[in-house]
Amino acid sequence: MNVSLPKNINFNFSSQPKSFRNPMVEVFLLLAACGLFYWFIIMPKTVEIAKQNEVLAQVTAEKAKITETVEALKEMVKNLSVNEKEIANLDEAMPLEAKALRLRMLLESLSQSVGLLVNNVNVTYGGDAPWAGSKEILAHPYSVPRSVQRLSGTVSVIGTYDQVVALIQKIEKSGRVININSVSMDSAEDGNLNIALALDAFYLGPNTTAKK
Amino acid sequence: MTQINLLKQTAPTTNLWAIIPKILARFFLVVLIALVAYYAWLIINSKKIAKDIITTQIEINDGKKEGLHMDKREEVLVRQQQLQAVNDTLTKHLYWTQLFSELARVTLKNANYSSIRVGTDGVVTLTGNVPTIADLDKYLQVFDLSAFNKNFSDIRIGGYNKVQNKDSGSKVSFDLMMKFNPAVIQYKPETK
Repeated sequence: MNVSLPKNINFNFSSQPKSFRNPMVEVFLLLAACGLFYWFIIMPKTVEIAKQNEVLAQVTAEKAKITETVEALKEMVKNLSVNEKEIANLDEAMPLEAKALRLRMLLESLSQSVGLLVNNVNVTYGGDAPWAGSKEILAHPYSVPRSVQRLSGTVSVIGTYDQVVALIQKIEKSGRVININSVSMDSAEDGNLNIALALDAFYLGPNTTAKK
Repeated sequence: MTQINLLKQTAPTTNLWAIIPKILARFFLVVLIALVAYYAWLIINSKKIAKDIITTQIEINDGKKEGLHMDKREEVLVRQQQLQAVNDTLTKHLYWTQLFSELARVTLKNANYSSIRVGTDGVVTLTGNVPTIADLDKYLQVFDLSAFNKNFSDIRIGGYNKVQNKDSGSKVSFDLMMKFNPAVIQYKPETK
């Protein structure tokens, strides 16, 4: 049996849902979603994280520096009690008080040790701090602001050239740092010389006017 | 007999132009999911970094407090200042004995000094005597030689005169002024 169908046949499958899925549209929408998501969400976040990492690197470096400083400080505190002799030498070279009378005694003693006749030794103290008995300094000797201060002195002695050179050598090598500013020698009676030295010594004294 | 298949086609189509968009769609879907996952990871990472920053800052503050409240810290600081001051002072320390030995080296053997004045201005003022005027001339000529004028220069005679003495005979007394090289009184490690 032959069946001939007309060209305008309509099967009328109206119950079957019509699909709107177009793969090309999907591709376009997904591509747009990916691009927008990356541009407006991921990129700002990446920049933010880069900045955070920068800050983290800075604080980490600062932490390392502080840790190193604290460790060094601990080591120095430990060394304070170990190196008592070196600290005593340091205190002799650059005392924390003027000790003008001790400087005068030292100069007299050095002059006499080389056989010079001491005519006069003079040490001038012009610091602000009291010579002794400052309760503030005694209570907190390391808390008061300090600065390098100068003690000026003159030494007038009589002796031979060799004695003078020996005295100058002793002053140069003295534990207390003393700078000779001028030397004056004039011939005196009995073949001796009148010698005058002008010198400066230094100390790390409390400075009432300085701010810590 | 001709058959008409009205059922939906289930077999994969072989049309390439129909397959590529579908593959691309799936690919971009996967990319989108990966981007969302990456964003989630970024958020987690960002929170972790923020936490690390706060933790490090707390540790920094703790370190500062520890350093500030350390026992004997102030003494250490004063000792450091003291040591620095000593080093600074020592670099400027002057060694006059080096000048005197150098002056002795360049002085004529038969010259005697009766007065010497030296200061940090770099000038030596001398009063001395030599047996004759010729000796004074020799004394001065020495300083024209490079071996002797390295540390002393610009020698000037203030005055000279012949002095008669009963005991020692005649002598020529002179006043002299010269400049000295400041380096000669500075610290020389090899001489110490």
